[in-house]
Amino acid sequence: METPMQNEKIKIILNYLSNYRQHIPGVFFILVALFIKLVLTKSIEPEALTTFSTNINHTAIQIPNWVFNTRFALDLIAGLCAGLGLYQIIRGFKKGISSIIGAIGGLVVLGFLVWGASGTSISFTGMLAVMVIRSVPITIGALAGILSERAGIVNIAIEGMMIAGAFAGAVIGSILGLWAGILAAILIGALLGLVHAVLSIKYKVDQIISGTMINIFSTGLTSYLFIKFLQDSQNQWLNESGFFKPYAIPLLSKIPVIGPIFFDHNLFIYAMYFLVILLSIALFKTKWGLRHRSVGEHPKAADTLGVNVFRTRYLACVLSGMVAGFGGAYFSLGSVGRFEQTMTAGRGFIALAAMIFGNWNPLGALQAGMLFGFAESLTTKLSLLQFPIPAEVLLMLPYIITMVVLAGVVGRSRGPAADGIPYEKESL
Amino acid sequence: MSKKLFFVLSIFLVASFVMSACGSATPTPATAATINVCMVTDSGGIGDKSFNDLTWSGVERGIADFGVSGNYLQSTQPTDFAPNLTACKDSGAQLIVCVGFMMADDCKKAATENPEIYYAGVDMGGFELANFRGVSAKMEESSYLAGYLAAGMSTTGKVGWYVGIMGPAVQIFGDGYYYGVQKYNEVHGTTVAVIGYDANNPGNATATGSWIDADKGRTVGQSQMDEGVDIILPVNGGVGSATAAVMQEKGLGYIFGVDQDWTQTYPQYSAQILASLLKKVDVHIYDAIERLTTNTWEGGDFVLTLDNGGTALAYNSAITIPDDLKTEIEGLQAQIISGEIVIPAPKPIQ
Repeated sequence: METPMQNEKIKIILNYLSNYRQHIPGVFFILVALFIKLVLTKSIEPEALTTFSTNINHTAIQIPNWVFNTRFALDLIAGLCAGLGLYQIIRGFKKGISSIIGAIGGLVVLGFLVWGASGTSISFTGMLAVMVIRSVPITIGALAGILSERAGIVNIAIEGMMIAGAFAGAVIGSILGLWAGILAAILIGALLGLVHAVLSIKYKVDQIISGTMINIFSTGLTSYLFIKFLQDSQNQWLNESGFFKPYAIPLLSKIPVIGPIFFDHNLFIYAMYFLVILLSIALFKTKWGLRHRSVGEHPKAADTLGVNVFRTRYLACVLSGMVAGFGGAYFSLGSVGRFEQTMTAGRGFIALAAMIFGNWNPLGALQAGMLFGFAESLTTKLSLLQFPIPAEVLLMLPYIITMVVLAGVVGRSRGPAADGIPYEKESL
Repeated sequence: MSKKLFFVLSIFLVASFVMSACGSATPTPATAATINVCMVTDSGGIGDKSFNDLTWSGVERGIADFGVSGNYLQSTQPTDFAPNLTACKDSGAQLIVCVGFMMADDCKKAATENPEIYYAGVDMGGFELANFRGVSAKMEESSYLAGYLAAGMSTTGKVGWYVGIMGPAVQIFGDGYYYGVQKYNEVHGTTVAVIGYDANNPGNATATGSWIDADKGRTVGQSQMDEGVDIILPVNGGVGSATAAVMQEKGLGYIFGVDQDWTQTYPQYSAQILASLLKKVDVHIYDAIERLTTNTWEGGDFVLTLDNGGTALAYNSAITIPDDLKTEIEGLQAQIISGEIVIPAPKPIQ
C-alpha cells in the first residue's frame, strides 16, 4: 500500500526529473565539447593546418582549397557544442531538440575529419560527390518500396527486383545498347512486380513470403544464368554493356563545390532527383496520389467511395517493380558496366530501412539514402587518413550512424495503416 | 485454384533453391572415374574471375589429365561453408577442395574429423594434418615488383591500395606493395606515397568490407583518385576490377589485376590494367590431384613463389612501360629469388 507520504516522495522525484530532463542532452553536448577540446586538440601542433580540397574536376569554376588552422577549427567546433549545451541547460530547445542532436552529430563528424586531415588534405567535394553516388540505389529502392506500401502492399522483394534489373540491364544492354538495357530492367522489374501483385492480391499469399520467394528466385536465377552462360569466355560479349557516362549539367555544374557534388553525374543520379520530385508531387498533390494513399490507409473506405482497390494495388506493385528494376540497372549500367553475381549486396534491404526511416515519404527516403551514402563515403575517407580505428569497426559506422539517427533523431515513424493486409471485398 | 498455385509456387521455390545452391557444371565423365573431387567455393563463387575460377580451372585440368570426376558447390555466405563441406563428404568425394581463407576454420575442422578423406585448401595452410595440403603464396614478392612499377609509373606521386576484408592472406599484398614503393623512393630519391595502406599499421588499411559489392569497389577507387591517386592495387577479387570503370570514365589511371591476368578476364577494361599479379593456385590443386592419383600424397603446404613461377608480375603488353623500369624490375626479381632482397615480415593486424 502506498501511503500519502510515499506518493508525495514519488511526486517530488518525478517533478525533479521532469524539471531537469532537459539537462541530460545539455550535459552530453558539453561532454562532447570537452572531448574535442581536451582529447582531440591535445595531439595537434598549434600551427598544424588542415586542408579541405574543393576541386575534383575541371567542369566547375575552380576555387582555392579551404586551408585552416586545425586547432582553431577544433576550438570553434568545441565552442559551438558547448554553447548549444549551455543553452539547452539554461533555456532548453524544446521541440527543436532532435535537430540540435543531429547538428551535434554533424559537428562531431566534422571535428573528426578536421582532426584526421590535420597536416594533410582531404577532398571534401569528392567525399560528398561519392555520398550522392552511393545513395542512388538506396533512394531509388526506397521509392519503389514507398510506391507499393503506400497502397498497402509490403514489398520486400526490392532486392530481388534489383538484381534481376541489374542482370537484364547488363545482358540486353550488351546486345542492344544501354537504353534498351534500361528498358529491359524496367520491364523485368514490372514483371516481378506483377507476380508479387498476383500472389499477394489475387491469391492473398502472405506478402512477406511472396516477397522472399521473389528474392530467392531472382538471386538464384541470375546467379545460375551468370555461371552457366556469362562466365564462359565465348559469351563475354553478353556481359560488356559499358555504362552511362557522366553528363555535367550546363551552368549548375559550374557552381564551385555544389556543382561537382550534385550536377556532374550520370543518368541514374538525375533520375533519382526526378523520381523524388515526381513522386512527392504525384503522391501528395494529385487526385491519383490521394486515391493511392487512401487504399493503403483504409481500403474499405476507399472502396466505398468508388476507388478500385484491386486495380490501384496492382498498379502500385507494377510501378514499384519498374522503379526497383530501374534502380537495379544502376549497378550494371550506371556503375561498373557488367553484371556480377549478387552485386546488389543487400542494398534492396537497406532501401527498405531507408523507406521506413524516411517515414514512407520520397523526400525522407532521399535524406535517408544520402545519410547512408555519407556514412559510407566518410568511412572510406577516414580510412584513407589512417584514422586510428580498426577497419572492421570503421566499416560498421554506416550502420551505427543509421541506427543512431533512426532511434534518436527521427523517432517513431508510422507506416500506412493497411500495409500488408490483404483486402477482401465483403460479399453481400 | 490454390492447389494449382501452390504447385507452381513450389516448383519455383525448388527450382530457385537448386539453382542457387548447387551449380554443378561438369557432368561426371562417362568413364566411371574412381576419384571424385568436390570443390566448395567461397562467397565470391564461380564466375568471380579470380581464385574461385582459377581453383576450378585446376580441377578441370585434373579432370582432363587424370580422368577424375569433379563438381563444385557454391557458397554465398560464410554459414554455407560447413554444410557444403558436409555435402561434399556425403556425395562420396575423396578429395575436397576448400577455397578462401574465410573457410580455413571450417575446412580444418572437416579435415580433422574425416581423416579418411583428402583435403586441399586455397589461401590457407599450416594445418599439420596428414590428409591436408594447403598452399601459401609469396604474393609479397610479386606485389613488391608491382609497388616498384606503380611508383615508377605514377605521375601524381600517390599510389593507392585497398582490400575487401583484411586478413593475413591479403596483408602480404599490401606489405610487398608498400616496400616496393619505398624501394623506388630509395633508389630514385622520390617521395611517392601509398594511400590506403601502411605496413606499420596494417589494421587501418582501407577496406570495402565486401567481396561482392562491385559498386563499392568503384566508389572506393573514386575516393582515392579524388585524393590524387593514379595507380591502384585493389586486393578485392572482382570488386577491385570495378575501380577500372571509374578510371575508364575519367580516362586516366591504372589498376593492377590480382590472381589472374585481368587483360584476359576483363578485356573491356584492358586499357586501364597496368599489370597483373598472378597467383597460380591451379598449379597447387593440379599438383594435389596428381599426388592423389599417383599415390604420392603428403600432408603440408605448396608454396607459390617467383622462383617456381607460382606467382609473377604479368605486364599488359598494350601499355608502354619504359625499358629502364622493366630492366630495374627484372633486377629486383633476380635479387628477390636469390634472397638478396628480403621483404620484412608482416606486422600483426590490430
